[in-house]
Amino acid sequence: MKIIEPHVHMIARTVQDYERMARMHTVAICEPAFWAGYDRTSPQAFHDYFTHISEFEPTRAAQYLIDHYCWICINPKEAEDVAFSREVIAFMPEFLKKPTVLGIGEIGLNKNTRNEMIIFEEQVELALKLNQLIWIHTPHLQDKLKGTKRMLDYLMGHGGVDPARVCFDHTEEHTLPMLHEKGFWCAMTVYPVTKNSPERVIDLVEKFGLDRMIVDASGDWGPSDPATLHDTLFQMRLRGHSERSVEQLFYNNPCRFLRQSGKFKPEPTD
Amino acid sequence: MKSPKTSPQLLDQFYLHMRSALIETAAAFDRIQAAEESEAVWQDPRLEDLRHASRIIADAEPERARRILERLSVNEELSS
Repeated sequence: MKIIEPHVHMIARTVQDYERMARMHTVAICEPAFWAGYDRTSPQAFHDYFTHISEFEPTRAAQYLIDHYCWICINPKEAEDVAFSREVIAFMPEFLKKPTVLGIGEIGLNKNTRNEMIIFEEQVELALKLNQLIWIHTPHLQDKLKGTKRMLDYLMGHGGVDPARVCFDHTEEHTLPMLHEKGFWCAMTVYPVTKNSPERVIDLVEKFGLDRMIVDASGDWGPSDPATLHDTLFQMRLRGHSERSVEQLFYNNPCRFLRQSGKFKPEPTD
Repeated sequence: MKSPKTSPQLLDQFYLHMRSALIETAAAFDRIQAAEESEAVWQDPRLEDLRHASRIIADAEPERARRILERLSVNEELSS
């Protein structure tokens, strides 16, 4: 069975992670643009970052027979400075034309500030103007519920947003139901301590079904591991689910969402 | 999409994990209480949230994970 990793920050990982993922049948991965662990000191640093994830990382991945795709944005942790953020947004369209850039993400909120919300809204508008998919980061821990509600209210009130072209990431038990009900794609991140465990992800699948559900590991520079995606696949098998259902969750579903970009090449098997 | 496994099967599968998670939490409470200046943190709202969460685990209502996550969430309006 082939597997897709919809969210991993390979700029922070070693080639050993590429090798491990390849050995675990990962055929395609997606790298949303995010915080580097420190605030960048100039908009030009984002230009370099976008070049890295849209040009260099695909060549690294290809050595392990993995297709590498990315998303471009100003992330919420660095969106507090509105003028700075707008300088970054100004050169995003040139990257959105590249063949491995799937859309705008991971935009969203971090501490749920007004400035973060301004930049979130401006990037949603850019995505709609350029017909781009949207990948949304929901805040961490105690800020997640409020931030998720805020973004959902905005998108539902907008009038021009198709929920089928938007994926909310890092969803959990208290945020997934409201998003799923409104027709958005829901990604569940398996990440030690601060996000979901493999067991909780399969609990949510059993409760809400397979439709518009995605799983990712969000491997980054923190205490994370791309293999938690595969741990979750194994958990689904341990819980007695069919191979067809497992394949839908870990391959066909991300294929369906990502192929709306017109650039994602892997095809669903069903 | 119902679980293919029965409740007794799931209890067999997860009992030791549940036992372990509860003992780890209890031991962390003990560790905090036994250390210097424990009086200063015993009323910390984070610990009160965890005590509340333990009551949710023990009650008879479903959706315990969702209810605990909601209890641990900030609910104020947008900050400036």
